[in-house]
Formats: sequence, C-alpha cells, structure tokens
Amino acid sequence: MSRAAQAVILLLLGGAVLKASLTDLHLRYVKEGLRPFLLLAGAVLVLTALFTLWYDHRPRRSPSTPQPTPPPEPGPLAAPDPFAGADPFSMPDSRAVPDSRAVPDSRAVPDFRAVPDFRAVPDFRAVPDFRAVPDSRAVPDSRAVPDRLAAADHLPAPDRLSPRSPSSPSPDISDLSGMGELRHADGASDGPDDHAHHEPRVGWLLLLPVIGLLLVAPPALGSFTADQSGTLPAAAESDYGPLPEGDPVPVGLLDYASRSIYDDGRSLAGRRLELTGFLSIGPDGGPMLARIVVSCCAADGRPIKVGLRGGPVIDVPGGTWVRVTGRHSTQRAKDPVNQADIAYLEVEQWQPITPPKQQYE
Amino acid sequence: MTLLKDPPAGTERRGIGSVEVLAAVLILLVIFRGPLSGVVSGPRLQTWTTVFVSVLVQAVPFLVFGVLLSAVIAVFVPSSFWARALPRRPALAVPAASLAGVVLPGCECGSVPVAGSLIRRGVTPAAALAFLLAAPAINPIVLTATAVAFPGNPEMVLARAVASLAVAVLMGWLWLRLGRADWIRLPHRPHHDGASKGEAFWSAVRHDVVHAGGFLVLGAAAAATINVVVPESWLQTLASYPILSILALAVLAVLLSICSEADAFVAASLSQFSLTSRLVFLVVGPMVDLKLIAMQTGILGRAFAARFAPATFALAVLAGTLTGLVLL
Repeated sequence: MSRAAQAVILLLLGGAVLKASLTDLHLRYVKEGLRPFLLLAGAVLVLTALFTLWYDHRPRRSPSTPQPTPPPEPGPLAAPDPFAGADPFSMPDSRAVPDSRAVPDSRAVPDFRAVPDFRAVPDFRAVPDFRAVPDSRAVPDSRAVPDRLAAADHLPAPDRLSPRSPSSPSPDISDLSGMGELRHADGASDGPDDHAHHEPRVGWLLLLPVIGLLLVAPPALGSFTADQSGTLPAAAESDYGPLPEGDPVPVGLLDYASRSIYDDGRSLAGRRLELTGFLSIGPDGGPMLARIVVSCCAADGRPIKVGLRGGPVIDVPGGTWVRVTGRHSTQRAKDPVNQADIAYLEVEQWQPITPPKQQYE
Repeated sequence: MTLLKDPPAGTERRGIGSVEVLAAVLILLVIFRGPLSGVVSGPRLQTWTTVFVSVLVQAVPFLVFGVLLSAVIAVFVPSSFWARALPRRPALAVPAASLAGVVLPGCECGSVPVAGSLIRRGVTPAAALAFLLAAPAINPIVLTATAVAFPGNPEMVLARAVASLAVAVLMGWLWLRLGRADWIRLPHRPHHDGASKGEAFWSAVRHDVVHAGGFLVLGAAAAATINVVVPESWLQTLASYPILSILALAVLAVLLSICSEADAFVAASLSQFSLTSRLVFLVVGPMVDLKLIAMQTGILGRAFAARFAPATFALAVLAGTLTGLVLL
C-alpha cells in the first residue's frame, strides 16, 4: 500500500469519524462524553492524511543528491568520525533528519557513557544495538555479532549503494544517512522484501470501519441484545430522594428498577410515571420495556428490563419504541438469563414513538 | 544521479497501483451500497456490526492520542532523555517505568505503539513492557471508573492497583531474566526521510495509525464475534464454581477486549461472580485481550506476542487471585 493510498484511507477514516461525531451517529456507539475526543481524533487523522499527501507531492529540494558516495557509517564508538565532522557542512540537510542527528549526538554526548554499564547487565546488550540501529529488523543480525563495534562494522557499506539489495540492514543504514538514499530505501520503491516490511498491508482493514460508518451505519443495540442478555441488576443506593415534580414524571428504567426493588417503591408510590424504551418479550411471553445501558461503548451494553402489566393491549412488534405511562406495581419476576429481579409497571396507557436521539441509558 | 532518479519513478508506478485498487474498491462499494446494507440485516449480524463499529469508534481517540505520544517520543525526545530519566539498572528501571504508567492516562490501544516507540528509543525492553502493562491498567481514569463501578467495595480499587502493578513489575523482571531481544521485531518504521522534524513526525503518525489501526480492526472483529456468539447463560453456569469462575472471567476478559476505562462497569454487572474472580477480570483485561494481542503481534512481532501474552495471562490470573484472597 503506497503512502498515497494510506493517506486516502486515513482521510476516509478521519472523515467518517468526523461525520459520526458531528451528527448523532456516534450516539449509537459511544457515550456523548467521547465526542470532543472523537472530533479531535478525526481532525488529527485528516491532518495526517493531508500532511502525508503534501510531503509526498511537494517538489523536493535535493541537496544531498550531489553527494556521490555517502560517508561510511562508523560504529557509534568507532573513533574517526567523518560523518559528524563533515556532516554540518557538506550535507546540511541530513542534520535535520532526526535519526542521523541522533547518531552524532549520542556519540559525543554523555548519555553514551551509560553504555558500558548497560552492557554489564546481560539483557542490556540489546539496548545499544537498538540505539545504534533504529530499525529493529537489524536486531537479530546485530545480536549474532558478539560485540557492538563489530555489529556496526558488520553493517556493510555496499548495501547503501545498492538499495535494491534485499538484505535487511540496507534501510537501516539509509535511516542514518542522507536524504537521497532515503528516497531510495522507501518501501514503495524497493525490492519485494522492503515492500512487505515498509507498507503495512494490514492497513487495508481500516476500510472496514469506514464502510461501517459511512455506508452501513448499523443501528444502536436493541431487542436482540435485550433478548440475549440478562437484565442489569439494579444498583442499590443508600438514599432514594423524592422524584422530581411533574405529572406524569419521566423516570429512567434503571432508576425505576432500583427504586422499585431496593426501596420497595416507596419513592414511587402515588405518582404517575412515564417510562420510555423499546418493547421486548418477557420470560412469560408478556411485554417488557427495555433499554440498553452503556457505560463506555456499545460493546459493554447491557439491557435493563421492566415488565409491563395491565392496560391496553400492546400489539406492536418487539423492538418498537414506546412511551408508557403508569403506576408502580409490586409484581416481580426473575430474568431467566441471569436470575436478576425484574420490576413491573402497571400500565395506564402507551403510545409508539420515534426512537430518541440518545437510545442508551 | 541516475541511481536516484530511478526509484521515484518506481514509487509512482507502484503507488498508483494501490491507489487504483483503492479507487476501484471505493467505487464498487458506492455502487453496491444498497445490497451491502441489505446483507447486514439479520439481527445477529446487525448487532455484530454495531459492536464492531462501536469498539473501533471508542478506541480511535485513544489510538490516535497514543500514536501522537509515540511519535513525539520517536521524533522530539532525544534518546539521551531516557538514559537520564530512568534508573540505569534495568531491575530498577522496571518499577520506575511501571509507576510512570500510573501517571500517564492511556488506553491499551495507545500504549502498544508508545511501548514500541520507547524500545526504539533505547529504553530497555523490560521497562518499556512494564510501562505497556501498567499504563492502561492503573491510570487515574481507570481507578476512578473502578471506584464508581464498585461503590460498595472501595477495596476493589486498591486491589486492582496492587495486583496490576505487581503483574507489570514482575513481567518486566521476568523479561530481564528470560526475555530475548530478537523476539521483538518492530516493524520498519518509515525512516524519517524528510528534511524536517515535522515530516518525520507526520510520517510516524501515519505509519503507526495505519499499522496499529489495522490490527485494532482485527481485534475489534474478534471481540464483536465473541460478544454476539457467547450466550450469557453459559456464564451463569460457570459462576457457581469458585475456581472455574476465576478462569472463566479471565478468559472472558481476553475475549471481550473491553477498553480498560469501561471494564469496571462490565465487571460490576457480572454480579453473580465472586469479587475475586471479577478482580481477575479487571487485572487480565487491560493486559491481555484479543485486540491487544493483535496489536502486539503487529507492532512488536509474532514471536514476542506468542510468548508475552500467555505469560502475562498466567501471571495476571495468579496475581489477581492472590490479591483477591488477601484484600477482598
């Protein structure tokens, strides 16, 4: 997958995330609180795509092209250091390349004095290797060489000059050298070995969430989950305050179930209540009102169910959203799936409604 | 000069290749949009799609911020910083890195690329791995969520922190003793081939999002499948056996792959299970799960993931159970 293709996929993904978070679509999948982060993440994805395209297509100054033979890459501890010496003058650009900078720095700078200590510890032998050669693919190679100096010597200079060579250290060296080579060592332009390593083919999978968000846009969890999972055990609270004013007063399903089961409906007594949810079929075949409770995203969604009894016959199919007005009932049932208590509501009237914007509780 | 001229032409040739494929795929998708949404109509498949998309939507911000952090580490933080910031002795660097994970709020999706970046920058793998395990498990957000989810059991927060920290540190030390550097194979990151740090930064971000994101998609698909396929009634049966219930919830934590910010609420809702088994669920989940294994395979290599994930799982179950016996 070339960088341009990756950029397009990132653009699509970022666009899909932005679209979902700007519309109500994201409410089907996550909590509303995530929205600012989604907007930010979508913007970063779009920016990444734009920067990738921009850096890819902008005309290149190529100051390192005239450089006929790249200076040999000495081991970090090797003494004569043509790279560090000549570098600032002859290839000004490569100074800006972070990795190539890191090399001269680390050579001259105190932090490398730490290396002998590190090496005293058996496992730590790996660390200098990592540092000397940013690319991990070199690690097995360099481990095979007992000493670090040897490891650095072992990186063959000719490789740099023949970037099509499939041998693995070549991109590493390019990493450390000037820009001209780097264009060379780019996966998109190199041999099959580099190709496989440079271009995350797994990135194609990112098309799936794009399809999911832009083309399919699956609905919020509903009656299938309600049928498959047991009702959420109502949470016991120490103190159930009085319900707010209003007649009928709107109550959430989870709140209703908790007040009914743990407070014996004391705070519900004598009030007309309004519950909203979708219809589901109860253990006894009777109608139940259900809603999915989501704490983070739909993957952790669990249903809360309230049984309905009495009132006008409910003759709409399961999954239909309804608003039910009624009074507290002392009837109880057990959810067959997880043996949790289900509270009941004595229905006075009900009406089908359009699904609310926020379908989760 | 000729040498340098050739490859860019190659770049274009191949680049247009995959862009063309992409364009064709997109056009086909738009044309067959109707039948496509028709396919996703059965309730089971629809639920699968919803869970799949929502795991990804939930994870995308954490993935993006984790990748940004890892790109900052890779491009702007010099290696010498880590040599100074972490104790020189690896055995001490491991607990130090674990504690750093406590401070940095991060999701597991973000911490994998960060750990990869740390290793690249010369941090001892053992310390980077301890950070990888500790960051998502015991950061302030996760501990707060746990406290909210278990209002009646504040000791759960302490138990979770202690057990997770223990696993992170022990895994780090275990890596020092047994780990081998050649198990870790970081994907070749596109050399910072630009003239500027800016270009290197965005190149790292692009590469890591595409790479880690691809594996995240794999993990999300697996988690959605488990979510839809495993009936809850199976769990009910398991809950009545004490030892089996611990193992069942540990395996469930791996399979469900819930974000560490949310898993406390799920654990709270599994009320038929003992507190200890739910603690194990909370300790295992942020350290080993399907999407993490997929991402570790992608970012740190298959040989690494094949050894690291089972070892972490075993240690997490053990530490969770012991902590549960003592504290709960």
